[in-house]
Amino acid sequence: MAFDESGHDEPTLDELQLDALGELFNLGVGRAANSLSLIVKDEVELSAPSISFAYPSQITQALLDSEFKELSMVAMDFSGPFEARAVLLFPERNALAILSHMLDPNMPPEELSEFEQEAMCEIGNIILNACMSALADEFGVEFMGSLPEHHFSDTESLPLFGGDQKEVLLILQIHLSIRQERINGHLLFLLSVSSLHALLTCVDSYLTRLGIR
Amino acid sequence: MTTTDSPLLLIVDDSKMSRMMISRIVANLRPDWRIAEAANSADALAAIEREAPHYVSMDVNMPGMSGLEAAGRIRLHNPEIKIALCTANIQDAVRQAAESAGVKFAAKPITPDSIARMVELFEE
Amino acid sequence: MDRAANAQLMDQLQTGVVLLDDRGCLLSWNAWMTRHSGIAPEDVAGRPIEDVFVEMKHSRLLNCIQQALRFRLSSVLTPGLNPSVLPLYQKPGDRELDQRMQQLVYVTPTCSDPYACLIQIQDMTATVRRERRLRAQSSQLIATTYRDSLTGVGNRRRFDQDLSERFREARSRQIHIALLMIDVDDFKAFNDRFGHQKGDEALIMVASALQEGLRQEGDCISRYGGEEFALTLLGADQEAASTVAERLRLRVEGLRLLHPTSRTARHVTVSIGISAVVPSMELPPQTLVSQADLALYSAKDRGRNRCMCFDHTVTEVRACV
Repeated sequence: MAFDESGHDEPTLDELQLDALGELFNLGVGRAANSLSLIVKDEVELSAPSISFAYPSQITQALLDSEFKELSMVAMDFSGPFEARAVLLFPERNALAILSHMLDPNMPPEELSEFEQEAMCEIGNIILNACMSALADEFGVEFMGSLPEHHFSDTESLPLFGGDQKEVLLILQIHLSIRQERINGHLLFLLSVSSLHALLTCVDSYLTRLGIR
Repeated sequence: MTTTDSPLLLIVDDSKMSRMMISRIVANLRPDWRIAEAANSADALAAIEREAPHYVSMDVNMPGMSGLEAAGRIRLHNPEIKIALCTANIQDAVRQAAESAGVKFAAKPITPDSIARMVELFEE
Repeated sequence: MDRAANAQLMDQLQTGVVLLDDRGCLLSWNAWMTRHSGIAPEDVAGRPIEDVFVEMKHSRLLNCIQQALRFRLSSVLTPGLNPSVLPLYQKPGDRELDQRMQQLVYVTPTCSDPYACLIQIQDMTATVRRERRLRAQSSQLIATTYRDSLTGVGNRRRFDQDLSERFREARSRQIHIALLMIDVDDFKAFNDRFGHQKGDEALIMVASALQEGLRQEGDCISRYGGEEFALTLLGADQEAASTVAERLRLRVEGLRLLHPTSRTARHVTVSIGISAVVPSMELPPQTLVSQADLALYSAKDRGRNRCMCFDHTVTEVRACV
């Protein structure tokens, strides 16, 4: 961890740590794609091409600035060697396109009904659990995971990202395509600084166990 | 001892960690093999132009050209090269597409077992 | 509270409760489960859950149970994505009809030994039925609100919505949007000659020829008013839009609908005005309509049965292709 001038402790990971996390999450989304493909009975493409870090306040601002009212989010809490609130975030229109495809192809996507919110929850649940189980498997640890909750990106759900400067967001870009519908979203892990350290300790001992470090 | 006659394996993966792991396990299993690495599809195709390997271990999700497309191109120009897709994408549809294109399939995570199976597939 | 009291409370719940041990074997379930599965828990206790419900093998539910036992992760299975996971029935008679209950299932790990996994099942049958009915009604409603009752193509409302949505998208992605205004030549004379009924028939044929002439899915001809039709094309520059316009013009001409009183030809023809822009922040969508209108008037001026474009470089109209 290093510090930048603004006084934030900008989390910096070395190349190998980032690389390892990227591979682990790709393992997770690979499993998630398999589970989703069983549901839609068709091929599902899911990839997590990049990892980055940011602060909750930056994300809150980015949400306020951009298509703020049009995001669909699924949140779950995980606890174990480190604690994290995981949030899967998709532009609502895209999420709708995919969901209406899965639920009822004849229905024009107009608005997210309760039905679709539930289904969105389940998709988030599948992706997040797959990522966490991949981490648990490879790190040889155990997490406890809560049930998923669905939120719209309105002011009420902003506290999802804390706002606590001592917290850090690990951001994974997510590309999901099902039957020609493609959505780009983000998977966010909200971690306290101590949890981030615990995560990195897991990564380091994983690398050591593989004899790479 | 490896010589220029020894089988050459090209490992294509954007993850350095993955390349290191595959390379290490293969070196243990087949000490006589030569091993080359590429971090993306374009580099891999260029490397194959210079010296065609016997075997290619190919990641699927990479920035730029996907591993699937690269594998297709290799099959077109160098049908004698044996390719294994090394991927966490374990869907049957992907597996079948790979197999029907004459490409082998090795599931990630990379473990001594999964790599041993890949080596067996190469030597079939 | 002792165990018997717990069990009694569980039996009063209007929700299915299933408890598994750490090997995924059934410990017990509540009266709700007995009622809707038709199986008493004492007959199946101690057996792996996938032996109790054989179809669970290779299912997502079993996968979720394994995730709860192995990783202590929770899951939800919704009726939308997993129709009728378990063989549960609202009424005994539904079993013969194979009409299963629609279910919402929660799978969570528990840490109160010997219970390792809790499955809760809610009956969603009524909700799903209501949802289906609402959906059916609303898609019917949407279809009729946006369709022109005479010609079956989009109506003015459809056009207004298409234009504003696509214009916004073109602006945010900074790509072209084109608008085609299509008008049947000398239609009044056609009506005067053949009567309104034949006039309506001609409009229906022109509308379907135009709609069928579109290649891209999602593109929609709308009736703008009277004998005027409109079409927005996202991602089409002037050249691409002109090609489409010319194809549409030829299609209508190709119908060979006799029109003896036309000043243009012996058949029904159309004139088309085109405008294409990459919208700037300041440009209102209405400008695109005025420009296409202007192009349409000049096509009429120059003898009809032709396509004209609004040229943005000189802010005037010129012939296409």
